[in-house]
Amino acid sequence: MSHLSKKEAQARVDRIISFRAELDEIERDGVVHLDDEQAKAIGGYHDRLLERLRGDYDVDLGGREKKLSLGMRITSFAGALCLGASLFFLFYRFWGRMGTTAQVLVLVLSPCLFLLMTYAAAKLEKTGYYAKIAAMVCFAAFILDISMMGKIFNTIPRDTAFLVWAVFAFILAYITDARLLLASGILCLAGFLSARTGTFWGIYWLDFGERPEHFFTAVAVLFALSFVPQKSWTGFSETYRVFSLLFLFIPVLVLSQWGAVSYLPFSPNSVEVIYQIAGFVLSATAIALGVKKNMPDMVNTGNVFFTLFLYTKFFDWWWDWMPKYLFFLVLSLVSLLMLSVFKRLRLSLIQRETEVAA
Amino acid sequence: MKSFFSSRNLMLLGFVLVCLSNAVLLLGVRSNRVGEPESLVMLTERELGLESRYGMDRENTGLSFRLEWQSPCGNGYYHDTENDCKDWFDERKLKELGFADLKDLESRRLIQSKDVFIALEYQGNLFRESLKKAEEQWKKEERAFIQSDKGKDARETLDSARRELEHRKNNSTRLFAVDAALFADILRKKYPDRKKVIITRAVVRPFWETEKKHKRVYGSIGSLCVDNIHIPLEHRKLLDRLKESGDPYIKPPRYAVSLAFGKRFEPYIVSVNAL
Repeated sequence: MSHLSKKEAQARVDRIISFRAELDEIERDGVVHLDDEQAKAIGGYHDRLLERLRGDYDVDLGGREKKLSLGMRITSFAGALCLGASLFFLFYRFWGRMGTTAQVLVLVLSPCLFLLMTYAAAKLEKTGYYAKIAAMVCFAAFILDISMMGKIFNTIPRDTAFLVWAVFAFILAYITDARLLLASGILCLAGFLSARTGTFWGIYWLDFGERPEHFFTAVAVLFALSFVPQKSWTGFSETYRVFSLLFLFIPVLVLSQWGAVSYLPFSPNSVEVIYQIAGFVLSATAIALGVKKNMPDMVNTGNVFFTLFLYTKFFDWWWDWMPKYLFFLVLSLVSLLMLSVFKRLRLSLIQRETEVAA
Repeated sequence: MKSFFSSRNLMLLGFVLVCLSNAVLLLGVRSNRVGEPESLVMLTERELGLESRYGMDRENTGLSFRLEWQSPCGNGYYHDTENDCKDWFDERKLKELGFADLKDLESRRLIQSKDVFIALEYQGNLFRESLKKAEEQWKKEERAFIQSDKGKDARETLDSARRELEHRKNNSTRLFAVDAALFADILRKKYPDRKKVIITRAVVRPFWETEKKHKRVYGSIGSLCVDNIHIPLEHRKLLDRLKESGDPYIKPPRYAVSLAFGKRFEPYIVSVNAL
């Protein structure tokens, strides 16, 4: 068996469990009956495979285990957040009583220590929960390191801090297979790219959020990164893709309502019209591309924003003059129409998945 | 791909990143502080007030100064927090700083901020003018009080003018923003006294107003890039012993600080002494 990602291993386990349940059903219906030798061979093979997958990938073998795993993930996330906050406040409580050398040593050594703990936890503990907690605390320690060093030495804030935080978050994400850390890295990278784009256009970097178009640079980079082969890490490609679409659609949505903050050399009203059209075209393109390339994440993100753009437009056209009961009735009828469209899209996706599996 | 991104390689990369980023930061600090400072000014509590703590920040044992500075409003009143520099930061100055298309202001299109160099003058003409205006205001209120019914309102107005004068004389900052430029050496050539004029970086933006049917474009200094200055442990002994007493609006300063701005225009404390 070639090396699998955790997602692929879990999918295989789910298929085996479904196969067993379905085989029981069709045997009870008398459609087919395996003789003892066949049943023993298949059962034995699946038992050994499940044991191996559980040992290598810590997969869930049933519904109750899955619910417990979800609970563990939520708990580990909460634990990591609290530990990170504790680290910040611990430093805040004592740093004023330390000399500069001691402050620098504590700040530099903390992320190094937590990095070592993350690596050790990733190697020693198969489930990965403790490694992920250690990694999130390590990331918090590094943010504390750079930001407090800047405070101690009164340095002028620079956008390169976002870049180093992004790279560090990516490193930790790829060590621990943690999508949350990947998302943190993506946010920091997007912040850096947008700030640099803003600086290129002549503004103070901290004000990069004033012009939503600065985020389009991040869209291109993140979308490109989603095509880098990384099957060994669960859901990483999808995460890059979804964030690239968010950084595309949210600025387009803002600009479709507030044209005054655009770089385009047209009147605010014209800019709003341009971005409203762009919003519909881009979200429809995302849906079509997602269906064609079998990327459900792209289809779903495109759907959400197509709906948002549509409802925003309805609001602009009808809210002021249409009776409110009629407005909401029209919205619900449009929702029903979109439901039937999504059903067809879903069917199309399932057909494509079946073709790919075959 | 997976072997290159093995946990061990990534961990080593992480260590390198932590060490490298801190090394670059510390080298930058060193390059800022080496050699003769860009400016070295003796300020007091009037210009470097202690940062207040609220809420969760009360647990923060770090201490920092807040650099207080002013700018003239052009309407005769000088406020501690008003940052509109309508006298000298006019349309011509804005164009010098590269704000080309100021027509966009009128059409309500956003004009974004810029990071420029500003000159802060210590105890210069603008400070003396502000003191003179406060004194004139107090004399005017005194004359009005003499001619009035000397009731409660009149007394309060006179007291307010007297407090304002005391505040200007003893308590308010003597640092005034006097100029801005894209490059520091332009300002330093114009204001060569390093002991009286601080050159530092700030964020500026144009604004537009209509006053008596006359449209005017002017510049505003939003904030300095660094206006909180951390106090190292070796300079805290005196400050930790300070106790609050008297009217905070008019009490005189309790300490003097020798503040330097290095080659990267980042500030650092040289000494703190009691007054």
